[in-house]
Amino acid sequence: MAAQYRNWIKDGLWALAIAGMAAAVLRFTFGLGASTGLNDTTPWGLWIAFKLCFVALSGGGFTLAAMVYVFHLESFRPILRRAILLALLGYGSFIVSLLFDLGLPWHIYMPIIHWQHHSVMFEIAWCVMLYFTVLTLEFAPVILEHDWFRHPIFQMIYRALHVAVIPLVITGIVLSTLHQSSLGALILIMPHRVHPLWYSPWIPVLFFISAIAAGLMALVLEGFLVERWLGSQVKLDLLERLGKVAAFALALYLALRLGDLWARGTLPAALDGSWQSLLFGAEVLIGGLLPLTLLTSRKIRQTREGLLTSALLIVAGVVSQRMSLSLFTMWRPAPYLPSLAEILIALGVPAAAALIYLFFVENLAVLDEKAPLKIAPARVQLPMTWPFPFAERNSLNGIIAHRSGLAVGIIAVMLAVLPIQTAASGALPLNLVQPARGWRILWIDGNRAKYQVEFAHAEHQERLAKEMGSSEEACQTCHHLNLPQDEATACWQCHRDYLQAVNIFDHTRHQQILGGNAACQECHTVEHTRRSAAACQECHETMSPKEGQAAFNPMAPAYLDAMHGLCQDCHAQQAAAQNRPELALCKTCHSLQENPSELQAAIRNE
Amino acid sequence: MPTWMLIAKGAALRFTLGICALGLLRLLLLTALDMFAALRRAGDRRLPLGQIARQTLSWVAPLARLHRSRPAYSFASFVFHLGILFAGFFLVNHLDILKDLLGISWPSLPKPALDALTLAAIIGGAYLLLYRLYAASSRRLSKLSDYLLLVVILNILLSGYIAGRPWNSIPYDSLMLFHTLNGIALLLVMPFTKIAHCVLYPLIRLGSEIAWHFPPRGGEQVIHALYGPEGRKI
Amino acid sequence: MSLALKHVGVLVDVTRCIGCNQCIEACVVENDLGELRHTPQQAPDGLSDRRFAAIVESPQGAYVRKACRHCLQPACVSVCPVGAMYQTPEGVVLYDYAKCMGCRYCMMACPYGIPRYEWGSTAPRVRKCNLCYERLQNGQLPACVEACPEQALLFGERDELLLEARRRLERSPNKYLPVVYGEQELGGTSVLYISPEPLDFLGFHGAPGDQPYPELTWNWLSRTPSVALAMGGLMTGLFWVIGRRMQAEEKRAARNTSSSHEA
Repeated sequence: MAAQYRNWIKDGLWALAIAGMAAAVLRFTFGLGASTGLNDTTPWGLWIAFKLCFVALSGGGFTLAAMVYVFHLESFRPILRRAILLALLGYGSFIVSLLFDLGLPWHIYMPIIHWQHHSVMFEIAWCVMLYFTVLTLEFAPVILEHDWFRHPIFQMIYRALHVAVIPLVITGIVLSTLHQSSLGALILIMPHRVHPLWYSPWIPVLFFISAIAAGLMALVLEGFLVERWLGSQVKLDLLERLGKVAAFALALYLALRLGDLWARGTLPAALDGSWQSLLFGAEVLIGGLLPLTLLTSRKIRQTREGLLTSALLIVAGVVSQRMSLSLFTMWRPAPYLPSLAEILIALGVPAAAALIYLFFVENLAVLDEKAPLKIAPARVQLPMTWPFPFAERNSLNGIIAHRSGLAVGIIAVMLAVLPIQTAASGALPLNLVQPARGWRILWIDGNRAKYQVEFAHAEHQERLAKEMGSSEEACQTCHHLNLPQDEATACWQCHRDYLQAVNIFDHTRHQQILGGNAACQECHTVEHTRRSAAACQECHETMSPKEGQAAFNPMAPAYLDAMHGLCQDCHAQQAAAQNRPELALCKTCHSLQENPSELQAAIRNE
Repeated sequence: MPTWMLIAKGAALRFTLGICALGLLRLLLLTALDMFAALRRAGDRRLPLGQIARQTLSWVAPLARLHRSRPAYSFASFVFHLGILFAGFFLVNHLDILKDLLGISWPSLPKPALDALTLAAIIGGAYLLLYRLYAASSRRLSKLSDYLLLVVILNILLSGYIAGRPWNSIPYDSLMLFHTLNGIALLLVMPFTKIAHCVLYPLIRLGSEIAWHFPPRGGEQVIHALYGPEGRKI
Repeated sequence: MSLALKHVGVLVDVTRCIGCNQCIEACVVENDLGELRHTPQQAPDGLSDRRFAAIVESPQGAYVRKACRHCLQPACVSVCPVGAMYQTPEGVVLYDYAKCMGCRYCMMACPYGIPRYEWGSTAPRVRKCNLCYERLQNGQLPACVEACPEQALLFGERDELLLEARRRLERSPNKYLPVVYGEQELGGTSVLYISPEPLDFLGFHGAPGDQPYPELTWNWLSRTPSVALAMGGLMTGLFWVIGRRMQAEEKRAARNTSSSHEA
């Protein structure tokens, strides 16, 4: 690959990693609520789905270690180090993502102290912790081979690790078996959340087998990518044999998955035409059966295209299974949309891992056991090297200037797009009100939560007009403030936010009416800032602030409060006056639309 | 909210301040890094640090030794900088924006005083512009960006000054939009143009002294070319 | 300090609730929950980090109190990796902030979707009803039970509450559905309901079955040690057997070549 492209890709990875770090600052400064889309009904979101994928795609580490050391398949040794590195970084990503996801990350050591053998999460915590250690020890020799570690102590450690490799590998396999499956077991206790097409009592086994298939195919993909990166020939014969092993695992996975669904009678649900069933179908057919068919044919398997396609499809299929069951198809009563910061952190972690991967590959003997790879230095002019515009190509100064320039740009964009100001002021993000629908009868559902109120607008209008003798007065009972040229401004036009008060003061308009620049003094008697402005009621005598409100208060209360305030007062009065207590009950207005209350039915019939 | 206020309080300002503050910080660090590298190459040679510090400080004063030949220019430049700094950092409206954004603030100066300083800065800036245009020596050294930057700064000062005057007939919001856009443009280009001297100033004298005293990096490349990377040190 | 009672519980008589919210107000005062804040993280049911209980309306319009059920075999306790969720001997399910690491598995696992989170905090807690355990230790009733003006909430020994519930069902069979909600559900809950309408909507997604939730996991988790041993044994065995075979083969090959040389 041309040095120019390598540089661009690295820049892209750096950009993602820096953006992730900026989002991480937001996460740790203001908490989960300000930085993520997680909520009370969806406490696990995008990060958990990504973590499941990280671990699944790291399955190649223990599988290849088993193949080389336990099964003595020495021919796979050339790609062993790379498999272990991939797993190490996959688990590293898992742990780092976990630190963002935990509400109290500084308590992450708690499972070491407080043992709870009945918790799957407890078992996973221990297994991941130990397996990460095992992977570090398995990879340590690669680092210790570097010139920096010539000291006899390091050499001693190196030899010790060499002796201990078999016990380490077997421990690693046992730990992987346990936690790869236990990650699936996490959802066993959530039948009320997981979609029936993905829920299965066999899910631990499914997770384990699919991790073998996906992990091996991730190694195939990595082989294609890294060899493309270096511009060398792909070791197609090795990768092809990995594909063969993965095909066995995939076949077993598909058989078990479909067999279990069939045995429990859930399979017909896969044909009901819902989007979940279509996703399931795509996952099983395109991400499972199709690559399986491709891999069974030796002719296809031995071509670059065939192998690459099946690797992509299998990885996509397993990633889809992990993401579907933990994110897409999970049942939730309120919507969940990952926030920008959440997405940036989710992507930033693997981007940083990829950079570490490239660093190791380019500086250590990862790809070739004999010597570190000598990658030709990138002889390109880096674009962002001001103030060293003539910095030597690829000199350290030039690289530092270039990457720090990139960082400044990315952080500035993050400052603009992340909700920093709202988070810092403790304000809620804007939650815009949706207008009521209907005319004679209004269906009021400001946040579209389906907890709607059926409001007989025409009936109220007519009755009030009759009582007051004037339709104008009747309208003004509720439509208390109207925009210019408007006879009855709708509630949502000023009470724009569902949950919080918003400023509706129109400076430009006031300025125009009062006579332009010469009239600033009319309101701003001392300084030309908002703090010194005159109180609204000095001109608008009828606009007296209510108790507890500041004198300068051009705020329209939250829609929720405005609507309750408007209706409840009057309803309470009428309930007392007409001796009809039911008028003051919540359910008079709030009953689900499917079951209109008798009162509403009566109103509708009138 | 009028457009200019949306810009002055919203994402655009956060982006601009990010580019400006971080960009200037990066510039400062990179320059310092380069100087350390130069000093390392220099080995045990000593710099006249006291003299450099004294010279750096003396440049700030108007009519110092360096400027004695052009007293009017020197004075105009001094007034120009003074106006920019005071109107920029001590106007109550600017401080309000900063307080909304970062929650930090410091006492402001009364508006009439700042108005006078701004007016002086406008006159000083106009003089600088005319000098650049009509003094042959200065014109020959000027690039397009030198004129543009001066014009942008004058735009900011003028529009800010006029906006607060009751006698002007241009709508307040239009003037403020112009003011805000010019201000944002200036902040954005600060780390990439000569205006970076606002943070690099303390290093300028030091930098030229280092360059004067010690061998430039070019010598190293010559050595490499002649003797290879392991070649003799100068 | 343990209580005089063996296994405590609350019986909620839905027919008696008038939706006055006095129990909620007492709860707010007792647990110092503060003023209600609208946040985008809140669920529509009214429970939040500042409200441990809420009156929700059934599809038919009855007022039903929604709060922690204090399951006999709580899912939240079984999933907690550090024991921050725990059950007292009297069956009250409590939360220990000092141990919690904030994984929120308890929130995911609760079949009623009860625990809520302090999303606005940088050191957030899981929040849910604690049945006023401190008051119980002092011999007082839970605040909500004490506050209820209609005696819709009844506190006492769970067995006695069950008897009382059945007595009420027998006495006025027309008023109630013939079930005590919480008697069998999920292996039983400490908070019981008798109601004129089905209460399936209280579940996070439909009515939870009668199988205790922790069993769902335990079926798998209890096999972990044997799986580990089997896998470890299998791998060691394979390593040894295959290694020996390959050595033997190499020797044979070496012998063959040397013998052929001799010949």
